[in-house]
Amino acid sequence: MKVLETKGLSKNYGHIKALQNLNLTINQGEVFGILGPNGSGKTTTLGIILNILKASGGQYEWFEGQYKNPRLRIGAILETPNFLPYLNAEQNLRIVARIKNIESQNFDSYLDTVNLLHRKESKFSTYSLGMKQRLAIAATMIGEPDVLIFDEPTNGLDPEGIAEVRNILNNIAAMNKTVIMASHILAEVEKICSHVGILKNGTLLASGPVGSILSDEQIIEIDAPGRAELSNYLKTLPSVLKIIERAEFIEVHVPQEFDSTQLSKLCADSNIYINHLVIRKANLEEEFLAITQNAG
Amino acid sequence: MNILRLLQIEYLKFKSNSVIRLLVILYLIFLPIAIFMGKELDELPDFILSADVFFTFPEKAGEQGIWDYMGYIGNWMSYFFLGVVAIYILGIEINNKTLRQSVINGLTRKEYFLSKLSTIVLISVLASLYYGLCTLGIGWIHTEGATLSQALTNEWAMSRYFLMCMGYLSFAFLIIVLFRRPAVSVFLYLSYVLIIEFGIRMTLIYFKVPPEWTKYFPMNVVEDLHPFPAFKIPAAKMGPDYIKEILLSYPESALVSSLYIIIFIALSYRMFMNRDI
Repeated sequence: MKVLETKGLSKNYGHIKALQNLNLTINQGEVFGILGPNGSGKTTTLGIILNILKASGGQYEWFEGQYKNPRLRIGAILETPNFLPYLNAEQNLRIVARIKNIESQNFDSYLDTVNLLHRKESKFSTYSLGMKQRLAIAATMIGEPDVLIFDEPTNGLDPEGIAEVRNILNNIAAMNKTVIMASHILAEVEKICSHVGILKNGTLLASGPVGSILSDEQIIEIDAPGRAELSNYLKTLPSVLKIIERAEFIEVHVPQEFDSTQLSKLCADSNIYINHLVIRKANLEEEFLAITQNAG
Repeated sequence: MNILRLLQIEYLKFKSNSVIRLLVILYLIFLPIAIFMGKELDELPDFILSADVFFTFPEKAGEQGIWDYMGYIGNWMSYFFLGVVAIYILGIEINNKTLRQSVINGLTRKEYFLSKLSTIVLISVLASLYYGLCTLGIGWIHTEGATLSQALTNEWAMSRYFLMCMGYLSFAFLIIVLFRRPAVSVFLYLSYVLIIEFGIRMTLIYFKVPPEWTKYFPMNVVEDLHPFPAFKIPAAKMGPDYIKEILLSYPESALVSSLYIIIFIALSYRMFMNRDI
C-alpha cells in the first residue's frame, strides 16, 4: 500500500521557494530517509504533510485516502520535542493518548523503551535535551501508529544521546513500521534507512532504495612506491571507469563484476608492487555530494 | 467530534497550571469580596442614598441593587482575570509549540479551535453561575425579608453577565490568534479595552462624529451589559438624556454584543484555519 503520495507539492515564503514540485511515493514498510543540507526543504515537506504548513500548490494523500483523519495513525516529531514544560512525562503522554482517542492506560512500557521510566514524575522542564528527545520518541509510539516521522532526531544531542537515540530508531525500524526520517546526517540515513530521497533547494534530486541511489561500482584504493607508473598502468586497463588521484592513494572505479583480487597480480606482472589496496562500495556521502554538486 | 473529549484534553493541559490557577482564584476571591469595600466608604456620592443599595435586592424591577453592583464588579474582574486566561490558554501552547504538536498528534485544526472555544464558553458559563451564586448569597443575607421572586428580579442579569464574559474572552482570543505573542497580546487587550478604544471614540467625537454613534464600539457595547448602574439613578440627579447619550439599553447591548461575539469567533476561526501554525 502507498502510505504517502505527494503530487507537485510546493511552498513559497514570499519570493523564497522552499519546496518545488515535490513528487514522492512512500510505501508501507519502507524506512524512508529525506536527506538534504540545512534549508533544503525537509522540514517544510514534513510540515505540509502533517498539516502544520499550508502548501502553496500541489497535494498529498495518506494511506491512499482510506482514513478521514490519517494523523491519528501517525506518530511524529517535527523539529523540536514539544511538550508542556510544567507537566511531567506521564501527564504529557496522557494528553497525547487522549488526542489519539486512546483511553487512559499505563505509559510505563513506552517510557521504559526510551529509558525514562525513572524520571516519569519529573517535570518536562527539568529534562536534558536528550531526555526531551527520547520522550518525544516515546510519544510517537502511543497508539501503535502505522507510520512514524522523525525530523533530525539526533540534532543537538551529545555523543551519548546520539548513540541512545540511534539505538532506539534502529529498534523501531526493525519493527517493520513505515518510518519517514529527515536528516542531514548521511551516516544516520545510511545506517537506518531502506529508501532515500535527496532534496536540495526545495527540489527532489533523486529518490529510491538506498542501493539504487548508491551506484554499484566498486571503488579500489590503491598505491605503490612508483605512483606515476601505477597511474599510467591503470589507465591502460579496459575495465577502469574512472581514476581519481588522492593525496594518500589512487582511487579507481571499476564495474561491480570486476575481480579486484586480480589487480595486485596484474600489477605485479607489470613489475609494480602495490603497498596499499582497499576494496569498498561507494557510500552515500559520495553519492550525495555527487548528486547535489551536479545539481549546482 | 466530541466536545467532551476536547474539554478533557484542555483539562489535562491546564489543571495544574499555576498561572491559570492564580487568575481563576483571584477572580473567585475578588468578585464576592470587592463589594464589601462599599461598607468601608466614608462618603457616598450624593446620588447614592445609602450603602445598603450595594448589598440588597431591589424592591422592584428597574431599581438599582446588588445584581447591578456585583455585575459591575464582575465586569472588571472578568475583563482582567478571565480575559487574560483566554489569551494564556492559546499563548502558552504557541510558545511551547504544543499547538502544532496537538495537530501533529491528530487533532484537526477545527477540533483544536473548538477545544479552545468550548473552554471559553465553559469559563463564561461557570463565571456567570458563580456571579449568580455570590449575588444571591450576599443579597439574601443583607435584604430583610427577601422573597425568592424579589431575589430573582434582575433583568436577565446572569445572561447579560454570560454575554459580557463571552465578549471579553472572544475578543481576547481574537487578539492572541492575530498576534501570536502572549505578552504583546495581553498588553494590547488590556490597553485596548481601557485606553485605546476610548481614545479612538474621543478622537471621533472631537472630529464631530455624534457621540451616540461611538457607543457602538465593541468593548463599550460589552461594558454596557453590566455598567455602573448610573442610569438607574433618579432622573433628578442626572438627566435621563445624559444617560441615554452614554449608555446602551440592555436589549440593545445584548443584541450588538452578540453580533460582535459572532464576528470575533468567525474571524479567529478563519485566521486559525488558514495560517501556518
